[in-house]
Amino acid sequence: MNRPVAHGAIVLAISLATVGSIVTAQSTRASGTTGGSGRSTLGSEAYAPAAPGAGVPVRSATIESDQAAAAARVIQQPTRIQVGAISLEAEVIPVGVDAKSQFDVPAATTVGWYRYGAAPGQPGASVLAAHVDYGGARGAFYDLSKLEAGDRVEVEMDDGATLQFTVTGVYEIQKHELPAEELFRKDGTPVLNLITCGGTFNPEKHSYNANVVVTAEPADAVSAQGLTA
Amino acid sequence: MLSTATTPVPATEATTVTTVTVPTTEATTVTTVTVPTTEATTVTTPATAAPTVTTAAPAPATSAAPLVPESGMAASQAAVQVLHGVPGAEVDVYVNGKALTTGFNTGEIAGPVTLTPGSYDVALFAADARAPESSSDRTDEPIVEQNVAVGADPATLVAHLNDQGQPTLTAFKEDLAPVAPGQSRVVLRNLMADGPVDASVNGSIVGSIGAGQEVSAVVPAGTAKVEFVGDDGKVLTTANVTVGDGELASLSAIGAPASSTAQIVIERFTGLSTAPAGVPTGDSGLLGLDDDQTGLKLVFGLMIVLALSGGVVAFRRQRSSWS
Repeated sequence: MNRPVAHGAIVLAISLATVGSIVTAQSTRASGTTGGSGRSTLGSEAYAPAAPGAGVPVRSATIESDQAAAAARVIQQPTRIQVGAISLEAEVIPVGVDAKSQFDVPAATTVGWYRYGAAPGQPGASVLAAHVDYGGARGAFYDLSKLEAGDRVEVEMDDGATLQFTVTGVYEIQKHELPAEELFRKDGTPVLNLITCGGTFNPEKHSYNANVVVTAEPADAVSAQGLTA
Repeated sequence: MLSTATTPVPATEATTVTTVTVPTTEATTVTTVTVPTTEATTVTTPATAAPTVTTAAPAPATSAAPLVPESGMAASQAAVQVLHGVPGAEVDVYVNGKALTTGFNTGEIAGPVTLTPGSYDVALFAADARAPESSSDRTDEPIVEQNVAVGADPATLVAHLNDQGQPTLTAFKEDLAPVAPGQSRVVLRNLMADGPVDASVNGSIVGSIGAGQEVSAVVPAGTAKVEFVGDDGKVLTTANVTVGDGELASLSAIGAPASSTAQIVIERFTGLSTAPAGVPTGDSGLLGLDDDQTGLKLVFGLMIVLALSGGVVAFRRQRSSWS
């Protein structure tokens, strides 16, 4: 394993020669032998025209290194939500989907965080959903549609941090037109989507024909770019 | 170019993990890792449909190899990774005569590189510290050299031992077809120097696969126990793998069980996820009956209050003007 790495180090040494630091190249070689990532590869530009000059990355695919990488990823989870403008304060629990592949919205006054999506504040969409009403009583998100752009949403995380979000939009969307892939997107700029029901109630189906969607973005990002909603 | 049998495994969230006692024979390599989640002792039964097994298409024998891909063809190019599954052999990898990576070790992945669909000449040489950039400048013989077909889909090119224990190259297309929300896909490949093995997930046999073959299963996101079991019932290699929603984990059993070099290597792919089918968040109709009318009442109430207070003010003004 050492020899080809040394080859890479020679390339490095040449490129670093202008800086005059062979010592740096040597230490790079030393670190390259442990991880296998900082290694230089040859001829890769011929196969990757989109990124000329980029080396072919090499990494370990063993179960052990995969597990180590997974263990290094710590995901904070939301535990509470507070929205002063509508006097909302509720517990948040992680949920998945039900047997119909629908959002497994928790009962009554608890808010569900879609645990297959992003955590609040992380890249992608973090989705919190709660009932507007449940079993004849008001649900946690009963007043969600009364929110307005600029209102503040606070989310407490399980590490004790409180994340601040600013409402950027309030929408009522027919359920059959709900842009679910966008509302639940896995990457992109961080957004917090709060979802409940709205529109017209169908007593026979015991359900509403629309969803109310409130979008919110990290407060510092909104104040930096201005409210555009 | 190749298809994979997909067997949905029951989608209970509690699906984990048959605790299997692993025989501790020398020939058995167990890659057991710490189980991150709680262990339920629920045994899941396999789905009824018996999976069919497809052999990965071997490299065609043609030598019509388009050379370096032209630029501006990104739409038709495939992301290809190279996986080293030959035990104990550090190699230099050449594609169409040019060094792709050198000093490449067992259990490592190189790439992805973008390749235009076509046939590529892939050669592995024993690692040489002075590996020349062109394989034509080498004086030694390659360990293995094959033409490998690359399609337009993401794929993994694996160097592994065949069932005779000889190094060979096989290209596998990665199945990134969407899965239902909360689900993931695991693909199990038998790339060991051994005969057919039973590939099992969470205690259920997904398929019996010969060397160079693969099976796949859709499982709930979470931790899955993956086992490759020999025909004598011996677990050749096993691992607990956590796979996220909308993720693909391609798990290749590599090495030679007879020499205790069998192990599982993993590649992860994302982008299979789909959003929930809906967000059912109301069942009582309070919003329609209660809230709208409350709103109206509020408006009327406010008007009455305003009217009254206006009247009072007017009345007071009158009073004050009188006094």
